[in-house]
Amino acid sequence: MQITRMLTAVLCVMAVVTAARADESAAGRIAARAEALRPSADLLKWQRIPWMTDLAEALKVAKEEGRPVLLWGSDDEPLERC
Amino acid sequence: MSLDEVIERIAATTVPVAVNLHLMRRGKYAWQTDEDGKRIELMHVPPDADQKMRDQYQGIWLLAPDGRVLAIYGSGDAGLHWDPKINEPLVKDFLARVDGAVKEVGQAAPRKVEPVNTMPYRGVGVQPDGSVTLAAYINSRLLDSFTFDKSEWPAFAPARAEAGAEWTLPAAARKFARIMSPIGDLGHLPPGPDDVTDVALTAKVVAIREGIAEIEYTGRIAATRRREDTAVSEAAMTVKGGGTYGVAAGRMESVTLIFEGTFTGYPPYNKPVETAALAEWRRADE
Repeated sequence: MQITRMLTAVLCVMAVVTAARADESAAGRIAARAEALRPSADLLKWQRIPWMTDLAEALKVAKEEGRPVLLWGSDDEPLERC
Repeated sequence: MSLDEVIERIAATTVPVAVNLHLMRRGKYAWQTDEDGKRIELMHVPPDADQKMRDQYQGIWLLAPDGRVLAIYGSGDAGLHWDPKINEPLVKDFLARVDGAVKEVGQAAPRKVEPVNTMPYRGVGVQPDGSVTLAAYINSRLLDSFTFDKSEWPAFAPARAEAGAEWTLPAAARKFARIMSPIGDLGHLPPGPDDVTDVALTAKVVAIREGIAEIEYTGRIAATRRREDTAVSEAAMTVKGGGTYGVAAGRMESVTLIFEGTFTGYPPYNKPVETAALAEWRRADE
C-alpha cells in the first residue's frame, strides 16, 4: 500500500514537471516565433525620421524654420501599413 | 553613402510629415477654411508643373512653406527605395531633389531634431481612455496595429484566474481580420471584420506561477473578400499565442499572438502564399 502511494506521488510529481516543461516549451516556441516575425532594426530605421502627422502644422514649422516640407503620402497609414 | 546618412539628411534639412492620402483628399490635411469659411489649399501644384507632378498618386512631395509643390518622388521612381545599398543612383537623385528644394526655399542651416514617437501606445501600455493597441508585424516587414477599447479588452483576461479556466473570445479574433493580408497597398484591400467567414479563439489558464496566470490562446480565422468586379481574395490562418495576467492586480500584463496560414489576393496575384504575423502588447513599465 505504501509503495503504491509513493509510486502515485512520484507519478504526480513527474506529471506536474512534464506539464510545466511542456508549458515552458510552448511559451518558448511562441517567443521564438514572435522574435522571428519582428522586423529587423534596419527595416525600422525610417522611424528615426522626426515625422509629423499634420500637414498644416508641418507647413507652419517650415515657414518658421525656412525649410521645405517633405510629405510622405500613402493610400493607407504611412507610418504603419503602407 | 548609407541609409543612416539619408535619414540624417532628411531630418536635418526638411520638415518631414507623413499623411494618409485618403484623409488628405477628404480635406483633413489638404485644406483648411479661414474665418470667413473660405477654403485655403495647403498643398498646390504650380500651374506650370509637368504632367508627372500633377499625376503623382502616392510617394513624396517636396513643398515650399506656402504649400507649393517643388518636386516629387513617386512610386514610379523605383519603388521609393531610400536605401543606397539597393539603388544608389536613385537615392542620389532623390537627395538632389531634396537639396534643390532646400536651396529654393532659402538654404536654412541644418537642424538637430530628435525622433518623435507618433504612436506611443502602439504595443505597450493602456491609453487614458482604457483602450489598448496591439502592435502587429506581418511577414517581418509590414506594420499594423489593432486597438481594443475599454469594453473589448477584458475579453483577453480570465474571468476566474484559476488553472484550467477556459473561455472564448471570437469577437476579439474577428478584429484581426486585416492581419491576414500580407499586402500593404490598398489596391489589394485586406479583409475586414465583416469579411470573416470562420473564426474561433479559445483562451485557457494553463498555470499560475508567482501570482501570474499564464494564458494560452488557440484558434483560427478565415475571410473572403469580394471586390466589386466579383474578384475574390481569401485568407485562412491558425492562431496560437500566450498571455500573462497579474492575479492580485487583476489586469493583463502581456499578450502575444502568432497567425500563420495562407493568403490569396485578387487576380493576377491569386496564387496562394504562405503568410505569418505577430500581434503583441505588454504593460508599460511603472
